[in-house]
Amino acid sequence: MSEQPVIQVKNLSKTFSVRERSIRSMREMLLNLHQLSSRNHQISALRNINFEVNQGEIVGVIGRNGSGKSTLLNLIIGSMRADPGSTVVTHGKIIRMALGMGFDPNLSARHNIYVNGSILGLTFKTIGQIFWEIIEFADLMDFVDTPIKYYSTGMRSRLAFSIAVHAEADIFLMDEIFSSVGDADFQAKSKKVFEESFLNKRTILFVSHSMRNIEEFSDRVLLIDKGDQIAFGEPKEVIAEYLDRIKNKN
Amino acid sequence: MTVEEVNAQARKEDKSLFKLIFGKVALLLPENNRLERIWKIAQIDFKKRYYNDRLGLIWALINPIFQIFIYYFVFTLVFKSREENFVLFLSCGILFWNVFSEITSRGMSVLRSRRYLIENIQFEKIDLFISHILSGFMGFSFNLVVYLVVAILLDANLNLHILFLIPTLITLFLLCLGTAIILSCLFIYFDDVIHLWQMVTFVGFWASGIIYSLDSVIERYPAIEYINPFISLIENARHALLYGTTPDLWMLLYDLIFAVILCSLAVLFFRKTEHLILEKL
Repeated sequence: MSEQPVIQVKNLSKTFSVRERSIRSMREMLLNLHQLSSRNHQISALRNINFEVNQGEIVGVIGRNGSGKSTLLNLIIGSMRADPGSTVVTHGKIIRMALGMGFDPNLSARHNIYVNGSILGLTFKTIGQIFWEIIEFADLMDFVDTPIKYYSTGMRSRLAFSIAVHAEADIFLMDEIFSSVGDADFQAKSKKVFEESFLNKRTILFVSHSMRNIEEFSDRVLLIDKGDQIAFGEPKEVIAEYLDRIKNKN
Repeated sequence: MTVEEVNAQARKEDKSLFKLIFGKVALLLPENNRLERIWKIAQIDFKKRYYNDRLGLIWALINPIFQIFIYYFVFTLVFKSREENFVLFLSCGILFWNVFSEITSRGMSVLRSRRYLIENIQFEKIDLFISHILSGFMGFSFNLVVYLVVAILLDANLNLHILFLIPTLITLFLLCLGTAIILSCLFIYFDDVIHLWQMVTFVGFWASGIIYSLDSVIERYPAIEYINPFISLIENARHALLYGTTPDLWMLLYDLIFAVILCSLAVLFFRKTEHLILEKL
């Protein structure tokens, strides 16, 4: 297996600057011209994060609520820009699997699959070929033309998971995927895929609060606390460190 | 609604007039992932706009016909317009202006309404705008067809000059695209851009020679033709669709250059500020 890093993060920091009073309209801006430059809060969300993820590796990210895990995912997918001096290098197509993912609630599963699949780089021909596989995997045979808004949460996340699995994304970013997706049967199915995707050289970075999942699946674990990188390495050690920290704080 | 009903409705929509006309276009496209996606999003956008109610596509026609009727009534009975074939004169103006004002004002929310895609998948965001303009042009093309039928009935001078419509449409497309991108970025920062833009389109409507010819004004102040490209754009559309004569070639070229510059600036602006804007979303 080629051990070439597909995600490289160096000196990554992210500072949000928040106005004391946020300006939402041009009228407000004109009225507050004299104080535009002042009154900016600097909130440092992440400081000096360094790690690498190799191709085919599964890396877990842990940390307490508000420690900057989601911000980290946002920075990697590029929907936020890091502070100057940080480097984030990624190779390949990235998709983030969140609960709603890229679904338009008013559209049917069919349309959503086409839009999402297309954005993920599949041609319509390919999507047509794997369309029923996706539906079958997600167990949605009877609801192909039903708008997503009538779906239950479980159905939605099953569909999201199924699309992502069948799409040709190279890097997956996940927010708590196992605890929320489907019944025991589906969880077993998705776990199997999870294990197999390791063989397919897909890279997974996932955030989770479930230490069982982290320990079971990840090759390495990153621990963040209040924006600082505490540890990066063997799952067992890092998890122990994390649990230790929680105990000491309480 | 039960699941069966929803499914039945969805299937019915898929067999619509829309599919008859636009369904095959996708087959003509080369097998290019990006083109396909732009087309698909445009198609879905269009459907969502017109198929959520029973009248469907008819709405795309009712609005301009209603407007044309009102202006026709006022400007023949009250103001006694002297334009020949006034209905068609008016229709050209209103159709072309409506596309622009409608696309740009709805275009403001392109980024906000597609947030669900932007946040979770990496892709070229400009595509969303192109799709949006395309879906606006789909409705426009229905209107144009209806216009042509009426024009034939009313003895408009339709001939090969209609080909000059092509550069005019390209210009219109680019103008819409550039404006929509800029507005949509501003809208992320300022909620009241909506009101401002309503005023701008209102002024634009009366300053673009839609209901009356601006020839006498342009003679006195030639500059306004260069400031507002819609004056000559609409005039050139009339040459192609009504008079059947050669349009003002210099203005045709000027408008196109104007649109290209506007559009490039908008794209450049978007590229520069993309990360800030997406963070604000």
